[in-house]
Amino acid sequence: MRSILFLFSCLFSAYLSAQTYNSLWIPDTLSGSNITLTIKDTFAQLRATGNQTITGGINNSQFWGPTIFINKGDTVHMNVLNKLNDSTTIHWHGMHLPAVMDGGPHQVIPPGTLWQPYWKVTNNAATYWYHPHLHEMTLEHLSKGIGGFIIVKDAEESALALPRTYGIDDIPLMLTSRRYNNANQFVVQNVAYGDYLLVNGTRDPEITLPKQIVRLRILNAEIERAYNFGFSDNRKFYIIANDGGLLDKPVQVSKLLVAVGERYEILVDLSNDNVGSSINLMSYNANQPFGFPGGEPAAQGNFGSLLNNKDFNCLRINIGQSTNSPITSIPTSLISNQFINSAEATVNRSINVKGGVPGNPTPFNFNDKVFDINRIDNTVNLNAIEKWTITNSNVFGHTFHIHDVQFKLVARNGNTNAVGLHEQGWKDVLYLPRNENATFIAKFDDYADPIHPFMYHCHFSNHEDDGMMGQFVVNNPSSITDNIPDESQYILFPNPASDMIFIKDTGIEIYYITIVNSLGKSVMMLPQPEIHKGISIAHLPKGMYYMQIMDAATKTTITKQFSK
Amino acid sequence: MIYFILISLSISEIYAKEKQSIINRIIKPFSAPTALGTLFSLQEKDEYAAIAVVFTCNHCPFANLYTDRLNAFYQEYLPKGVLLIAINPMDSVLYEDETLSNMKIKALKDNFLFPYLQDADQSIAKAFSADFTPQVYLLQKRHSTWNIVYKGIIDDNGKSPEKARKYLHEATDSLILKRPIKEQIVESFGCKIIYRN
Repeated sequence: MRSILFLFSCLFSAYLSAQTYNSLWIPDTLSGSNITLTIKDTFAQLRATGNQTITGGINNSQFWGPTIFINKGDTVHMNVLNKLNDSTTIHWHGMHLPAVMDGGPHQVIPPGTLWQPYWKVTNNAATYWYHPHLHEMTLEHLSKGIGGFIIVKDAEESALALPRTYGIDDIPLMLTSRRYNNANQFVVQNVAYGDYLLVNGTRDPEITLPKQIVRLRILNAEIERAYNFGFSDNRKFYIIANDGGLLDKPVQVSKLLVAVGERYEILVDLSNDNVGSSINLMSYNANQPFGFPGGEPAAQGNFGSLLNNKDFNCLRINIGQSTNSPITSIPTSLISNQFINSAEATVNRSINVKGGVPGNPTPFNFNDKVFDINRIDNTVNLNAIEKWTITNSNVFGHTFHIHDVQFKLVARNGNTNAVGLHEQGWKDVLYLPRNENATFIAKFDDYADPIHPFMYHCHFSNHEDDGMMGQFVVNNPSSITDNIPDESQYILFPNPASDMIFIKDTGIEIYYITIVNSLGKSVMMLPQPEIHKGISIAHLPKGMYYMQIMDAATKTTITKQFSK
Repeated sequence: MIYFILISLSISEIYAKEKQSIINRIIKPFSAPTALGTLFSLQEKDEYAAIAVVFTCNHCPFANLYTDRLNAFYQEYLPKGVLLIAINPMDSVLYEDETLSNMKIKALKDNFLFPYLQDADQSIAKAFSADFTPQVYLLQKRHSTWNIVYKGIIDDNGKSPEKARKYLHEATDSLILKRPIKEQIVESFGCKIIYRN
């Protein structure tokens, strides 16, 4: 018996040593106040053998796009060119910005069109992301790998002794899994889970990290699966940031549940590991309670997966030499967050998960209302502090995401002490297990827009596509209605134009400009354009164009013609 | 396991339905402008026993992998009575890369040996029920009609042709040798054709 066990042990060791890994891809970076993202059809060799998989790339990438670095306080201008042969949107997940810049289902970018949102960054230093949000197409476009990280930097974070050398001791990890058909193409119908893990688009990834304290920025970019992270040697690690900013102080844990859409930054101490040794970042998803996304036992089918109800390796970490300026200690404190006081909330809202019951055709939804893009579900007053309670008396776990704000989770199941230590910071996504409720407070400041809504939704892209989404507008009750402008009040110059075209400033605030070519196809979309700077049309071919100008006060559209 | 069987069955059913709807479908004569300024007319191609109709386009990176292979196919099979043509079904109003003038640039740059047709109103693609670029149909001449006998991929490895199974070659060879085509419908993929209406 002993010899059999020994043989088995040898074979298992041989299997482990025979496991081959691929170098973790670290996305390229973009920084500055002018960022260009060109979204395009492409393909990638995601499987070990066989055909390539059709994917969506951004700039030079094949699956997930570049990481965007932006600074708090800067105004960033995004130039999003849709070169797909399909409409899409790009949502700036977690960013506080005007609704018309948000990239939700209302900001559809037709093929060949340049969308130019911009905003002043007021978010705290943390890890955010961008991804498509076209209603009923989010799962398909997200599955193609359209999306990427946004890393916000600020002075408070920069003053701390934290790892921040991107790709060296500060590593972005975007986890997702995909199911493939026989031709190695993504399955996007009737699928809640992928079968094969991809970290930054790399299958079976490995990375060599320096023998020191390292920072991992973890993003769950799955369809439904949650991850219960830990290390193969069960070492402790430290959570330092939630979705929307640093925590007051690091939280020591040995496991961390990250649900879809959530981001966590963690510190891992590798300083006592031997150079040449390895550990695995694991997800311990076996034997989770019913309702845990990815805990279902089936290996196939709509709700099954080869990764379900299993403990599986996410990243092989090989220990290398330390860097010249290593971070050697875990900070005892981070920043002093000034959270909103619960007592300041003046409005309470209840959002209840409904539908989705097997055998009933009504999909998952909120408050018995399946998403309708033409229906505003809630109106929030500008500067209001509101308390929202999301209740899930339903069949399965979900995640809840709200646009516009970072919120403070104040209670789970009515119990203020039940909020996990790991989720004490600013957040924009919360995990909502079945038969539970969660309460957050948020302040809806800065950006009022009575017609352009923000979204709240389950971040499971299949649920969102099926209608588990609502929308709210932020209303400024003190705003005044102006007179409707007439055509003569907009004067374009020079006309014909060459590289730049201007609109004479007659005091009318412009809400939106769409430039359409002579065939009626939109070529540029400019939300709340800075008209005093003019509009660059250098990239447009010569021809006749129509500028559709919508004023901010009355939302009346007037069309002017110009030529180039 | 039951799930797996159910899914397998449903996929089989989908293929059976597609096969029923596509295979043997008669394609009515069409004509369309080519990138090099001529007019292609199916009615004038009676001398061929078969025509391989490849839906492709200018911008699709996966479709672009096949340029050399399409030229090679054209040269290999033309003497055997099989013509290859390419059709661009993309909406050039929506997608400027796909205009006839850009098709000409591409055809010259990539040295297309075969006619590259513009399906400006997408009516030809609709007649075939084309879904993606690249996607290939094999038409067989039967007396006075052109009938679809194969719909699918050109081969099964875009980037590594040497590793690929050549489905279009297999179907064409079977047709020439008057043998049954083993796989008449092979799942295709690529850049989705967006129909205007």
